[in-house]
Amino acid sequence: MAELSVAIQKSLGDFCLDLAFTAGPGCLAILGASGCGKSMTLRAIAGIVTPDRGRITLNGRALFDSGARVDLPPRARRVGYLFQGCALFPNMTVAENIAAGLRGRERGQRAETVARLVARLRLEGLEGRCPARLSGGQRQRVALARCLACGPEAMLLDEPFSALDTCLREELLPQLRELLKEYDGASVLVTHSREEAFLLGQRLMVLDNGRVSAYGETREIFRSPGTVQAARLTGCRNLAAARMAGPGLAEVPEWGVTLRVAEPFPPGFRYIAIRGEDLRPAGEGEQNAIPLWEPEVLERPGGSEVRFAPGPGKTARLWWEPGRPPEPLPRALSADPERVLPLR
Amino acid sequence: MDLSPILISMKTAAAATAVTFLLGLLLAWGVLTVRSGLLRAVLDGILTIPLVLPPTVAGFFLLWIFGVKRPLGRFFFEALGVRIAFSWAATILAAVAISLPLMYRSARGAFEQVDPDLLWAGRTLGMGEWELFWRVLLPNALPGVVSGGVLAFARGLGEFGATAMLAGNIAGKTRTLPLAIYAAVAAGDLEAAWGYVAVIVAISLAAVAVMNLAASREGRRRGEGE
Repeated sequence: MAELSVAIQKSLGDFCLDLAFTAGPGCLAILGASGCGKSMTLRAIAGIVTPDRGRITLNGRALFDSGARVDLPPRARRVGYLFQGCALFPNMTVAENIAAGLRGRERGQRAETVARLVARLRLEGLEGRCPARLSGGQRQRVALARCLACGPEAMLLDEPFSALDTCLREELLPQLRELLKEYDGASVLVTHSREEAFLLGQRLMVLDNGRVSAYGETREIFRSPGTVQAARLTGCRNLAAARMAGPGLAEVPEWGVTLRVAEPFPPGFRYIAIRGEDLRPAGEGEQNAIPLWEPEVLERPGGSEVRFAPGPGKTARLWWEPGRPPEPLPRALSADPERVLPLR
Repeated sequence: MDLSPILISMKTAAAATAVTFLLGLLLAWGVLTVRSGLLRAVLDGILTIPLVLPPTVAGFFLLWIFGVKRPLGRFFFEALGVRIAFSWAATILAAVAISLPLMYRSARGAFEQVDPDLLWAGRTLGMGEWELFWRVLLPNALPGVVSGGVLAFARGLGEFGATAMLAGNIAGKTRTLPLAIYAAVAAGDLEAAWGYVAVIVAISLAAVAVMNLAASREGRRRGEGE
């Protein structure tokens, strides 16, 4: 059973990384804003940066253990790393790149491994090319093949789509999803895109300023983020400070409403969030109604969004994502109590 | 015109460049892998000093170290029967001492330009440090390394001050081209001086051509994908 378990601390100036999680089997997505420590986490697992304290084990094997003074060098960790810029060796052809980590193997076996990966990642005909003459997508597939060639026990993917344009990304996402599904080791994907995290990660960890802000099943965290940071990073745009106003009731002063909340309030409850797509036109006298004032309709390629004030003279703005807004716009919107998210 | 200075100079420059090239590469790699910043700065300083010292002063120090009456010079003379000062070996030693900083600094600069992620990628793929050096670091730093080697060769070929101090100006033995030019002018034989000057200029131009060729080939290879 593939299992990567990490519990590390590392300070760097003012920044402090302090987290613990286990990954695998399947893919764990780490979602966070830039500078939150997600790349540093991957680098610590691969042995590129050394944590101050902690323990990293892969399938029961200690890669790093500050207590037992274990710190395996990267080459002994058997961890594949997909670098942000692919980091292909410019002086080698595609085939040589894929075989770069197979020095110790017998010649025939090496050729067989390269041929298998070339076929699997659809790189036929490119074996003799230099990386400089590959497209962004091909480069990434070569980097993946090179990682897989060594048969790593875990795969670390550092923002695999950040260097690619939108079209290529759409094309490569399902391919990577397929590949990760077939891969039987643990994998960790670092990203700042909620779409990638949602599509690729069975499990999700939201990282905020070096600390775990949410951690669990991806769908569960998207449904109920628990913290403001996790709500924001999973794409929730309507957030406001709130306080308890009775059992199951939250008062939101910025919006001038008191909302009924189905979920129990978490300890340290301070915020309320409603996703833009969870708002709908409110019926007459319906509970959880939020007035819709000064609406601005913003047309987007996939549908329109409405930005509005929750009442006359309010400075706060909310977003409604109805896909196609009705004509005329309703006077008020509401959200089911199950869709009103209490956060800490 | 006596042709021996041309031969001596070519032999000296070739031997000195070979030593400088390998030594400079290994030193550059070694200094870059030193973890302590202080130690790295000290090593870097020591390796750069001959570049900023006047060559006569560098030659003076070399003479002071390798003179037959000095401990190191005496060791070579008594234990190995090799007299370094005022021998052909001294011309090589002087050329190496003066050209090594150029090679070291060029190689170090070229190594630092290589994307560190390439090296980390190699390590996560299971490569050892030695394999990494030969298969990743050196090939990707090659243009800078080659131009460092050419600079070192040109500098070694033109070496005058330290050579005069350590090797002297013995015709047919340690008289290299720059020393021969000096001696010819001093003796009023301008025709011979012009001849030697022409040879040096021709070799120097060829060196620049090699450097530019290496740079443009690399530029083409990198630019192919654009």
